[in-house]
Amino acid sequence: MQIYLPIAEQSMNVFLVLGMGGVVGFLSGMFGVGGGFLMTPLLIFTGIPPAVAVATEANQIVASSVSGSIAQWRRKNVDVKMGLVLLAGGVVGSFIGVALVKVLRQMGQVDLVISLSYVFFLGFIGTLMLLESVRTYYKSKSGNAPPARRPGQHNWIHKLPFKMRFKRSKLYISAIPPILVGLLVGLLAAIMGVGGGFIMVPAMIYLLRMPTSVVVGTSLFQIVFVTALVTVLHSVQNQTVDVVLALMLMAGGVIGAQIGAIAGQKLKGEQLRALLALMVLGMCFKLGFDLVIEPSELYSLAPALEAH
Amino acid sequence: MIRALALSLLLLLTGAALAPPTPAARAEGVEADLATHHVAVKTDFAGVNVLLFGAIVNQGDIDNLALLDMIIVVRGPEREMRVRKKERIAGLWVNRESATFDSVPGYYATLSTRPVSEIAPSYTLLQNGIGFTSLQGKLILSSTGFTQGNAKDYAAAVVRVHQSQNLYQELKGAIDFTGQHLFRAEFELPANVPLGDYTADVYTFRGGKLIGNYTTNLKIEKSGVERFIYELAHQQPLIYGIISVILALAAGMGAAALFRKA
Repeated sequence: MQIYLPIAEQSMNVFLVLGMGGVVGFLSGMFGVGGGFLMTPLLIFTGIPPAVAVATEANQIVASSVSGSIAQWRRKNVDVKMGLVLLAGGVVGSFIGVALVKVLRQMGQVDLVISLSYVFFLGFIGTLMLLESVRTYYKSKSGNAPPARRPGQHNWIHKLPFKMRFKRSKLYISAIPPILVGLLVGLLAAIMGVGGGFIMVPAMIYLLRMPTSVVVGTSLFQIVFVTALVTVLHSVQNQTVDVVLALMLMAGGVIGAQIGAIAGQKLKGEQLRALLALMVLGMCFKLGFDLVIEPSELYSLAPALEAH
Repeated sequence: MIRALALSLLLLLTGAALAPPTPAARAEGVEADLATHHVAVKTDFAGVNVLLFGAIVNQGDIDNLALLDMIIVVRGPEREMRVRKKERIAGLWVNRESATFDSVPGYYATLSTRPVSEIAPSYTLLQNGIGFTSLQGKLILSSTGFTQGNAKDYAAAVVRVHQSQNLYQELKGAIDFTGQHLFRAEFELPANVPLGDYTADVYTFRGGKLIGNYTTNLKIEKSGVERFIYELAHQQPLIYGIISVILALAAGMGAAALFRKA
């Protein structure tokens, strides 16, 4: 059964779209990862124009992150002040990112930049995940405890100006690092169609040294607002949000995530995590390979966009 | 139904054409129509075949005439297109040079009794914009941004890329004749067909000479929900974006509520 996508202007098999939403939802429910960095490349592989894939995926992430962020809010796991500072950076990053996508579209380089960003980040995440699962595997064999972190350690971040007090996180630090983290995440959301949790969560833990109890809630809080803003900005600037595609991905993703969450409690995670890492590296390799091998058609066509 | 009606109409037409007291000076021509003049692109649109039918009118004594040939050209709406060429830079294949063609038909199909180049001399084809070769010639004339040397390559690429997307088609022997006068042909509009105004031109030839032509029109439009979404996205993009976000919020929260109860 085919469905016509009004913005992508092509028809796609309904079950393929629902299935993709389901599989990515399953993986994200199981491992607690956001689905964006898996879904956007998959959409590109199925022939959706990269700019449409990115903007549409940002729309889907709004749906997949809102329920989690409300649950975290109820459990008071959101540092609102930190979230707002991150969001301030995120707003700036989103505006820059969407404007950049528009310029790159006019230059005909948007596909290249999206692919290159994915090759870089998928390679990075995949390698980290693989190393982590290998390390955990050996640790569980040898029974060694992980090295304890030293709390209260001061680093260069404490020398920066514009210090603010974040009560919920028990931190007194400069606003500059969270703003910069938020900015980077906003940029990635606009250019790659990801929530950016994979950058934000480690940055909050290791760079800002936030307590782990508020990390997930605060990042989800920021992700909902940034992806919502990116959706609106892409709609206005690029007209690349395909709401029909997004709704179908949401439908598949919601069901997949529920099944994944149940499966995650029952199955042994580490081998599967290694498998996910290999999948991520596989996609990284495929995107990279497509950039390096000589394409069968050197020419490409696009409607001429006037530079405004 | 439509087909039956069309056929009876055709019989009338040809009957009239054959009716004895015809003024001898009346030239031979062709008349044609499409089974539909309006294609609606709805949610389940996956491409469609359109039937073109017609008749040769005022045909003289066929024993004294050269073989009849026919070419049907279906042209889609013209758009300004940017063509980019990839080059290898630092190991990566990157879009580098580009050129713009002012009016590229989004769809172009020729259906013919024989290969187009065998039917008529190239200048006749060029004059009427028939066939990929003359299409490329027209493209080159409407191009900007490159030297004459590579214009040909870019124009050829336009045809090739569209062909690979099934948007440009060259169908030889795709016209069926019933008897001496009636003909029918079907062309395919794939799912990715551009929307807008289409024309179908029927050309008839004898001995390489154009002896008749007839033009009929077709409109392809989004309809229903598809049309509403597309127009909203392009005319009220801010509202469209906000609605997309609200839908996503509702979907996410609705699903969470649903699964909490289950």
